[in-house]
Amino acid sequence: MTMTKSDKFKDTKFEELMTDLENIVQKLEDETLSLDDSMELHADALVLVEICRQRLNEADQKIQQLVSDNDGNLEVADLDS
Amino acid sequence: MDSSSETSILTVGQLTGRIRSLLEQNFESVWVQGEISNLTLHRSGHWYFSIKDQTAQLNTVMFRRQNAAVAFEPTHGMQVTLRGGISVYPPHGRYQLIVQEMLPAGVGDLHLAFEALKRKLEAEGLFDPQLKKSLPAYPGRIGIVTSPTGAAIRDMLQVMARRYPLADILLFPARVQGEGAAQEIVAGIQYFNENPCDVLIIGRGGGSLEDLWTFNEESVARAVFDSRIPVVSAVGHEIDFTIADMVADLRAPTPSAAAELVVPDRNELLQTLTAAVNMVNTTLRKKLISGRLRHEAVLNSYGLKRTTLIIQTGSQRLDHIRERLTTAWQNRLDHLRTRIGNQDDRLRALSPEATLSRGYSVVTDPNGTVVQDAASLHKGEMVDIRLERGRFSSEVRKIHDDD
Repeated sequence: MTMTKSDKFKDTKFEELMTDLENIVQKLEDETLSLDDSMELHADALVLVEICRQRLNEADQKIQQLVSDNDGNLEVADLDS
Repeated sequence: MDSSSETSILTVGQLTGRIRSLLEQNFESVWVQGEISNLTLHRSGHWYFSIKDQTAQLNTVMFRRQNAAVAFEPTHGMQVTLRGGISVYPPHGRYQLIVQEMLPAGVGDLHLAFEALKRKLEAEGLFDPQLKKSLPAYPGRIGIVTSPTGAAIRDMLQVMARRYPLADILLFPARVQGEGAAQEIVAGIQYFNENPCDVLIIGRGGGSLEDLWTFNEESVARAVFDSRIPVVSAVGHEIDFTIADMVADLRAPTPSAAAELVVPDRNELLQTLTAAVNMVNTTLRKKLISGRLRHEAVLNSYGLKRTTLIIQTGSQRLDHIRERLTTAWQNRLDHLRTRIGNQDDRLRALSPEATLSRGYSVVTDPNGTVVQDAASLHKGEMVDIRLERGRFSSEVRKIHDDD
C-alpha cells in the first residue's frame, strides 16, 4: 500500500510534501471536521509522513560543478569531493 | 550677521566661540588624506600631530578613546586617511581636526569608495528591507558561486551534507578576489537566473578589506539586487560587512553559517514528522472518543427511547388489525360459501336431469329437435326417447288429436 502511494509522490518535491502535510495537520485541528473526513486526512497524513521520512533517510546529495569546455561553454559535471 | 553684531564689540572669547560653532557645524564629519608630521604620542594616550600635503598643513588630535581602535602604529611621514570634525582650541586660537577614525591611505581610498557606493546604493533603495526575498523552507536545488578550492566551499558542502542531503548543489566556480573576480561572480549570479535554483549563495572566506573588495563592487551589488532568486551572501568572518551583504536577501556571517541558514536540519525535520504523527493521532483519537460519546448519548436519549416506544405500540396495533382482518375475511368467506351452496341446489332442481329423475322423458325427432307438439310428428316416424337412465328409439303409431 505504501509502495504505490510513495510511487504516486515520486516526482513531488519535498517542499510540496511538507506543505501538504502542514495543511492536513491544520485541517485536522479544526474541531468541526467530520469523523469520516478526519479519518481520510489522518491516513493521508501518515502516508505523507512516511514518504518524507523515507526521503530524509535515503537522501543522497548530488553535488555538481560547472566547467567550461574547449569552446568556453558551461557544462555540468560531478564534483569530486 | 545681524546689525547688532556689526556694531557691538565682542570679547575674544565670544568671537572665538562664534568661529568655533561655525566650523563645527560645517565640518562635523569629513574625510581627509595626507602625510603625518610632528607626531607626538602623549603620555596621556592622546595623539597630537599634523597632517599635510604640498600646499597645506592641518593640526590634528586623536584622543585615546578613538585611537584605541586604530590597528596600526602611526609613524612620521605615513600617508593616512582620517575622518573627523573641525573644532577650535580657544586658548591657542587654532582650528584643528578631532580625528574619529584613522586608516592607512590605500585602505582609506577603498574605505572612501566603500562609503560612497554604500550611500549611493542606499539612496537608490538597493538595501530596502521590503525588497528582500524570503528563502525557500526546503530548497531542492542550491546554487553556489565561490572559489572551487577555498575553505568556503568545503565548509558549506560539509554543513549541507550533514544537515540536508536532499538538496542538489551546483557550484559555479569563480575567483573571489583580484582582477576579473567581480565579472565571474556576476556571471555566476546571472547563470543561476537563467538556470534557476531555489536559492543562491555567493561568498568566500574572510580576509583583508582588499581581499574582500570584489564583494564591494557595484557590478556585484547590482547583479545581487537584480537576481530573481534569493541570494545569501556569505563573506568573511563575522565582522566584515560588504556591500553585497547589504544588498543580499540574507547576510550570513560565514560560509558555514550561510549553509545552516539555507537548509533545514534533517534530524529536526524527522522530529517534526514524529510530532506531526503524534498530533494527527491524538486529534483522530479525540474525534473518535467524542464520536463514541455522541453515539452513546443518542442511544440514551429520550427521543430514541420514545421512538422505540412508538414503534412497539405501532407494532401492537398492527397485530390487532391483522387479527381483525383475518377474522373479517374468514367471516366474509363463510358467508359467500353458504350463498353459493344455496344457488347450487336451486340450479340443480332446474336441470333436465332432475326432471328426468322425476319420471319424465324427452322425445326428439330424427333431426334431434325436442318434440313439444304431437302434431309435428308423422305416423311411422322414428323418435328418440331419453329417460333418466338410458335412451331408446320408438316408432310413431298413432297421433291422438284429443287436445
